[in-house]
Amino acid sequence: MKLTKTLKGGLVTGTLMAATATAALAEFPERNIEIIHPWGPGNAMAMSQVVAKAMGEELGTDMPVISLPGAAGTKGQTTAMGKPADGYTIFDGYVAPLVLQPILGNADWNFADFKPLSAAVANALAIAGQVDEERWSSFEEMMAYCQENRGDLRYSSGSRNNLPHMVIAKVLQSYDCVAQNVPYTQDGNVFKDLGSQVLDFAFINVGNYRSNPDRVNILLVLSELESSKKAYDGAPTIGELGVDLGLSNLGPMGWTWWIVHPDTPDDVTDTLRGAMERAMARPEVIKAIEAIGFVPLDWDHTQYEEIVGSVDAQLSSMGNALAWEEEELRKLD
Amino acid sequence: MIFEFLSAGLDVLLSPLALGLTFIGIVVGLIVGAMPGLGPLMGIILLLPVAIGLPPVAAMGFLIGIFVGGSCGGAVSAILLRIPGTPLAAATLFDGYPMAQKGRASDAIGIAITSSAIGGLIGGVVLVFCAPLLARFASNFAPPEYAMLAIMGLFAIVVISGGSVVKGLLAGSFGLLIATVGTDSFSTGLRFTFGSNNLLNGFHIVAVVVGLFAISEMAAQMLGRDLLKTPNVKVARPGLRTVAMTLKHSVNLLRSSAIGTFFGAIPGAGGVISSFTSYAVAKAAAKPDEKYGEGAEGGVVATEAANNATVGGTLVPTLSLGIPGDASSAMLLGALLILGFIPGPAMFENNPDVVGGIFMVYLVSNVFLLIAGILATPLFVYVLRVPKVYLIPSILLLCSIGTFALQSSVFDLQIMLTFGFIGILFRAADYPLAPVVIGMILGPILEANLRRALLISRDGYWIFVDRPVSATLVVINALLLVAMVYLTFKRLSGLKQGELQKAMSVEE
Amino acid sequence: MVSSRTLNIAALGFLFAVIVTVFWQIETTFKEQGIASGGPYDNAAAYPRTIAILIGALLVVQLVTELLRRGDRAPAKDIARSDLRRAGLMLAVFAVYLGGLTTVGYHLATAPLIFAIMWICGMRNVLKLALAAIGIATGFAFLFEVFLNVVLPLGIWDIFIPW
Repeated sequence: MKLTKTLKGGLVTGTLMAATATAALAEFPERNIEIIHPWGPGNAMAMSQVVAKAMGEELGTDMPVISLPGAAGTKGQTTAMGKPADGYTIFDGYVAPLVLQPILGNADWNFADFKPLSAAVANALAIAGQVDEERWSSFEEMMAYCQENRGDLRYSSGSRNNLPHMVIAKVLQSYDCVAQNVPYTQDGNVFKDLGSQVLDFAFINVGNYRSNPDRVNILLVLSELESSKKAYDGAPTIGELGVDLGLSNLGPMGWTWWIVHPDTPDDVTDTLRGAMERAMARPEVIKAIEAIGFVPLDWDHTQYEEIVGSVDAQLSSMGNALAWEEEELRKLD
Repeated sequence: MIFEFLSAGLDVLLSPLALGLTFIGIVVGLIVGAMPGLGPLMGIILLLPVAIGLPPVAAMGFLIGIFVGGSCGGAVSAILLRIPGTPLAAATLFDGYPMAQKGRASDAIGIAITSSAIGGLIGGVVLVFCAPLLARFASNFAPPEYAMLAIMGLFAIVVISGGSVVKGLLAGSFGLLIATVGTDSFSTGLRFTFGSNNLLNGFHIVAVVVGLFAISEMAAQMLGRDLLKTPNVKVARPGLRTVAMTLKHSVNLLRSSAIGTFFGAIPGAGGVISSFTSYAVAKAAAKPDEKYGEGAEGGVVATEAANNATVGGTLVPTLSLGIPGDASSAMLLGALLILGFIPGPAMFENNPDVVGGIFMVYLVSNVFLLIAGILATPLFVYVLRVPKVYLIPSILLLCSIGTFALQSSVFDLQIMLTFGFIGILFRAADYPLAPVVIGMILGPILEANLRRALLISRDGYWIFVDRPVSATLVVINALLLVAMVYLTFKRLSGLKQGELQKAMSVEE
Repeated sequence: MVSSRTLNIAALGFLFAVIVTVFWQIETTFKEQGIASGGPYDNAAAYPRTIAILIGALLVVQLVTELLRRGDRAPAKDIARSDLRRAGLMLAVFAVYLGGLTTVGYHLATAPLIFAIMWICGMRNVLKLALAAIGIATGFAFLFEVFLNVVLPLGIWDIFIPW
């Protein structure tokens, strides 16, 4: 008896407290906004925290970034899009969960299903080899070696079936080179095992390259952009190869475009868009992004369909490179 | 060269801001470490936005302080409440909690803090003087060596499971198995997810640890009949005498710090493995009258020196190669990049003041840990005087919020509760819980590196003996295995006779 | 009273269920995904299967040891039914709390949880109970929401405190 009475009392007090609390404020945002980040703790997450902090300052709230890795980023995206469409949850929409996994048949959405806020950053990838390599001196010589010794080379793209894997597989396919990908969970270890000659070549990002420019040899920059070439100190780019991979602009790069649930009210979305655009234009944000080795992107939401659509089209048309690699590896067994 | 760094670093360090924030970092670290759920990694993630607005050395001091304090704070709840505040402190339970039960809570915490600080300082000395050398040595560790090291770590289970080796091994294997839940990074297939989106990345280690230890402990506490009473515990004031107590274990201290630094320096191993390994080594090396597992000071020294030395060790590849040793140092690396410094050999040349400053804040943070820790011990120990009627719901709530905060996930709370029930079953049937933790940590390292090694190898399993370091580890593992089997059989045959006699005497 | 043997058998039963699940999953979902065979790149089943077999072997050893210990049927620990009831009630209340957290939200669900657990502990002073429950719930919320920026579950009514 007593118990229920008190419970009721507690409930009423609690509700009243909360009700007055909610009524006092009306304008978005009334509370913290969460950013769901699809990878584990590391550089990319720290980078998102920089953008989130600036954006939070624009909005007058805090924006904690939550790391929710799993299933190539799709766990984070599913979770974020499962939250209420009120603008209090933003997804750090990396290309892997947003575009690539649907193409591979591992997710049932399309990039156009979501409301974009603004483009955030891109990351130029490259293929790196060992410094004191004696078997070849350029990427094309390595490909020639690979053709003669099918299945002998070992490389890593980080995880299996991620964007670097897809791009590398496409490049290898165009040279008819079959090599074994070795998945790693920590990018740093890929770099370490490349340095100690356990791997023949591997994907690398600008951050890892700049930490130890003398310990690796950049064979090929997986981008045709001039800024990417510069980030890797003038190494050859895919644009300079004789083969057409059908990849341009953001196509071969890692990037993220922040998105919200499609049912998010327009005024809320506009508030978020404005804040993100202002945050991305801040000099200190640009400086921090570049310091980590990412490229800040200044496309706004109106260009989402066009830019991401073009990546989607490019990646869709080259989806069979992964299947080709698996098939060829199976033949070698 | 080294001294140039340090003197350059000293100039940057000696600002009230840098020193003050390092101290605050230690305090924050101790608190997040002591609270079940949150640990050093979550502390760093949650406070990174604050840090990146600060001058570089002050920012790194703040974050490194959280890392150092958080790596020690878990011991406090392990000792007082039998709940490891972080997985790092799971091995500190073995002797820390029995010490507290014998009325030596303050001593145990004092020893834990002193060992952490000294272990951290030893790790720091290695960091300062041997970073490039150690980094080069560690880069010889490739998948085959990791796989062999992981197997060696599993032998620790045999040593640490006090009562029944078989039960310890069962618990450890259970840990290995639950670590396979989620997306397999090699085949990209889904294992044991039962169609749940929430299980795509497996169980969160913290949810499992909090469930196993904390929930089952709170259920056990509920069995007591003194829930409303204010416990009449005499709390001795700790002080500098715990420093003297710790220093008596100088060999253990040095050995455990060395083990911790080593595991820190090889990326991906981390503090849990180092604390369990150094505990197993300390126990194996101890005389029988030291009574490990019943409140031996050496047990607390071993685990706490090791897990804080790991922090120093983990900064070695982080700073000198730009390869993070674990998730916490990956966040530190991100912070350094944001602040405009690229870790790696170039940073040592271009920014000696920052490198020196980081070295200095790391060393100073360990000194601060000792000061703050000893000062705060009476506050921590006060928890023992709180009536259980307040303590139990508060701890359950802390566990819930702390575990929820990891991924903002209510599902993690349900996992926590499920493992709470498993913990209760294991305890009731007298299965040790700690092997589950070490199994869960070692499992992914073992499986991934085994498969990675085989993918890299051009001739199958020969890769494990073709490489000198790996071959050495194979031999050591084989010797350990033979020794363990021999000892187990010896113990079993002794036991069986005893059992038989007992059984017969009952029948009579 | 439960004997220590019953508890041991229960634990063995649990672990047996775990390995049965492993083999069942390998035979079904693993095969469907094509990850139950092949080399290290594709075979996700080899490692869990090995561990499961190891557990199976250890289970047999443990079972034999258990059966050898014929005489040991003494009660595990002398725990009174009323004490067990408290622990069981606490777990039940906690489970209900976690189950309802997403719907009800932290701020409505937590004070009743604390209240109920303290009640189970034996405290009957309702005023003290209510004050402590609201105090503990709000205190922790303040700590986490203000200092650590955690967004606690809001529930379907979107209830939060703008500190």
